[in-house]
Amino acid sequence: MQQVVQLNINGSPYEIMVAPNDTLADVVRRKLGLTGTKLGCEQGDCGACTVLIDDKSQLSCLTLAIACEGKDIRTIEGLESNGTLDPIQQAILEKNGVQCGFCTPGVIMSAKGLLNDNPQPTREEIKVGLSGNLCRCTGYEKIIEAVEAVVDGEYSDDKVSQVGAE
Amino acid sequence: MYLPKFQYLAPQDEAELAAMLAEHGDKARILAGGTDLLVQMKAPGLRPEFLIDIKDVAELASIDFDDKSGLTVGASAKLEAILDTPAVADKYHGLYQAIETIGARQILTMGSMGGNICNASPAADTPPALVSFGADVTIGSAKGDRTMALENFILDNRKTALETGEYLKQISMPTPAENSGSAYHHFRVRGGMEIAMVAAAVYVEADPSDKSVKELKIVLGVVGPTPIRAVDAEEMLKGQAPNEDLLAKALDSCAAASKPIDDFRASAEYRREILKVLVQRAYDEACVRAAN
Repeated sequence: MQQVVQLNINGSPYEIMVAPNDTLADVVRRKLGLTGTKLGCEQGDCGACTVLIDDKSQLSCLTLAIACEGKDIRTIEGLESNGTLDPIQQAILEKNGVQCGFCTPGVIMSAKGLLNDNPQPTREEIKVGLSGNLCRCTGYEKIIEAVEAVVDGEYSDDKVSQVGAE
Repeated sequence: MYLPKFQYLAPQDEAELAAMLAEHGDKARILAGGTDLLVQMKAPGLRPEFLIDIKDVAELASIDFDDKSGLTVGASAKLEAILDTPAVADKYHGLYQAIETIGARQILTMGSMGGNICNASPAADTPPALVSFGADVTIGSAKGDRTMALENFILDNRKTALETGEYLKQISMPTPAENSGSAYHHFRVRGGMEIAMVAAAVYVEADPSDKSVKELKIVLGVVGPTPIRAVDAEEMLKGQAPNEDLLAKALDSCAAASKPIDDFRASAEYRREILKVLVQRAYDEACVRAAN
């Protein structure tokens, strides 16, 4: 039986009809059209569906939408503001952390969750922090370098705005 | 990959949870983190009519520690929250190591230790470590609570002592002694997102007067349907000063006590050999920690 739930996604409130067996990934992709969140393995191994729920990186393919009422949900679409990319997005783009791009939204949301809890992770902590995200193209090096660049302040919010203005 | 249909229930407290379980019995399953349950439901097989989500039952999410009563972890407490509890890192090192290896960050922020136990996978990481600390589980139901050793709670592959209408309430364990140390070692092929093929948890308490082994628990993981206490090996080493010959015999006894299976991840013979190495590593680390 479908019921109405109130979801707060990327800062906007939504009233959505959901069935108990709708996952959060299905709802953001199919009902809201936010297809940046990807579905890979759909069983918690690949990390492509990672979103932030109350600032923690979680798997939207193993989360029931109906259980998300009252929580703050952020997807990849909610990272840029006024045309300016999030520092992690900008770094991944410039440091060639993207090849086919399928894992990228999940990787970025995972990195975001990691930096929320630990703004200054070591290289090893970045590797462990991103170990739940599979990437079959990059070999991970460029992704790790991009996150390191953010940690080192190379992509602080001001600098990213300047890049956008050029 | 869609989830099958079910009715979703979200009790607000334990009384409501107990009443729902009493009403729906085996047609209901408890949803804690979902990282095991929902995966099983997406595959053919598990089809509960009701999912009872315990996220709003605040009593079940608590984590408490004090020196006198030890560590108590509510059934729905998130793995990450347990890792972030200073007493766990300080005093329950083997448990900390076991939780850290369960999965990546997303799994740790979603999954619960209660789920890791109730799912009763032979490859679960926390049960061997918890048994090494002498953990008890408290079981709730509309009829009241009961408590038993975790060792007796996990009965077989995917089978626990929970009866119809019952739920896991909390896991509790005593404060480790002053001169104690613990460790959990596991073996797997990849560094991340991989299930252990063999594991060993050790808790050791040294006698401060002569450095001999006063108390010892050796628990073998992933080499049988449930965690296995290597009681014979424990008895060989207890009361003795650590020595290599004795340890070699104890390790052989651990291998003899194990009941590993042959599967695509490793042969039984290989697991038995690796087991000895892991018990030795865990024992050595626990002894070093007990001495410091």
